[in-house]
Amino acid sequence: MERGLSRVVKKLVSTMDLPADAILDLPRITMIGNTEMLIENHKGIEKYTSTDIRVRVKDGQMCISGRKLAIRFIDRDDLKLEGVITGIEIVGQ
Amino acid sequence: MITRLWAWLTGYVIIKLKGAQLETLINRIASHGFGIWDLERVTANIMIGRIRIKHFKRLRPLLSGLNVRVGIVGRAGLPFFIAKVIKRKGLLIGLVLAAGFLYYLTGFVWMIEIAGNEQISLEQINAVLIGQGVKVGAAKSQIRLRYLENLLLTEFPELSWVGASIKGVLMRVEVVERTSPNLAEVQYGDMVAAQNGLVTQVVPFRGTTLVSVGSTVKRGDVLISGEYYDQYGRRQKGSAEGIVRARVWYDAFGEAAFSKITEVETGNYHTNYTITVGSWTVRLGRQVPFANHTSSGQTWQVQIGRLKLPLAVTKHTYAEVDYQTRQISPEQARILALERAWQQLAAMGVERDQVSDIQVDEYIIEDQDGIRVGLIAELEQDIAEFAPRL
Repeated sequence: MERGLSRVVKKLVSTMDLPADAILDLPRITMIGNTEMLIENHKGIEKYTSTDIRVRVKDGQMCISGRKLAIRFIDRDDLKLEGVITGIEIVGQ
Repeated sequence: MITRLWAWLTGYVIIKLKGAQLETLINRIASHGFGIWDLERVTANIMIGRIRIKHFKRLRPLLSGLNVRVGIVGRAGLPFFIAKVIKRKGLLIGLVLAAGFLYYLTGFVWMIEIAGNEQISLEQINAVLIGQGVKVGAAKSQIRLRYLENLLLTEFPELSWVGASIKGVLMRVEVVERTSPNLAEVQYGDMVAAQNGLVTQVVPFRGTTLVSVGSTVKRGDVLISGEYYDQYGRRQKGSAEGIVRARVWYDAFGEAAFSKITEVETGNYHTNYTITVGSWTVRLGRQVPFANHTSSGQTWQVQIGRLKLPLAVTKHTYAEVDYQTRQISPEQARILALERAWQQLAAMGVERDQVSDIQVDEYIIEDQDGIRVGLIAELEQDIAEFAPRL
């Protein structure tokens, strides 16, 4: 039932050209070069080291690897990372 | 940026999180809407971050069930700064006193700038200002700018405008002097001939023209009169103005001899010395044995440090010379004489490239064995000059 509703919403979003991040609660990721990354709509951090940060997002995880990684700011919605980002992987559930 | 500034204004603490499930705690803090910034993982079980005081106070309930300890390692922001300053009363008092003193000092004029004066000297204006107590260090409240302006205007009738202003600690006095009207415009006079000549062009600007093209004028003749009749037929007296060009002649002469006497050294030299003590001089060595000679000398002045002693030794060197007469060809002599004539003209203000025509006369000077060249240069120039009538 929920799956069906989700599919309907997705369809609605794509046909009506609505912002998916706001309606579907999807993460919005902004990167500035390879040194800054802003993840909006995150669901918390799973792991935090200076070479590997894992961030929970809706329906999965984002794995960010790099050097000298640090969390510049974190609150309910936003997560800002800094450092040298060398890899991004998105793992679905 | 704004969040950081706000955090600084409201104050924040630097916290150390120690334990196993740090990520879980971070997520709990974040999900409560408390922001953490500059979060650094120091070791596997220690993180350091910054959090606002308000949020820190509400952190305790979030720790339940977790094996994490939270401690404060630093405090920053305005509230802490103020607290620190209040603790250090001396510094605060010093700051306030310094600010107060600075403010007090701004109540005085520390620089005075006077500009725009050319004929009236700076000292004259300054003297008037000082007379009113306006000097460096005077209190601004005691200076009446409008009064000063009027005073300067009455004191110096040459001034047409005075502006005094104070900006910060700088006082500016700007003056404008009356420009004296041009004398030539108010004078009554004529344009007269500065040279004898034959008029070739008359361009009157003001006045009555008394000569025409082709007129022969003598030096001092009135060319354009200052008296004229205006458009209403009234007789006016003014200053004549205009250009009167005329053909004028200048004459000069130059002389050159056919022979030239030159000194030729024979190769014989003689040297002697003189010693001078005070005003007393003695010669060492023989007198000069030559009838005709040139001499040169070199003096050694005895001195100690910078003090000159009245003792000097001079070495004199004499060279014997013969006088020889060298012949100059008549052609060379003529060129030389002509050149001297031109130099004479140049001294009269005649430039060679303005000359339109020349006439050269040559005379042989029999007894002096030379040549004389007479040069008459013709040129066209403005001969009108203003002569005031009294």
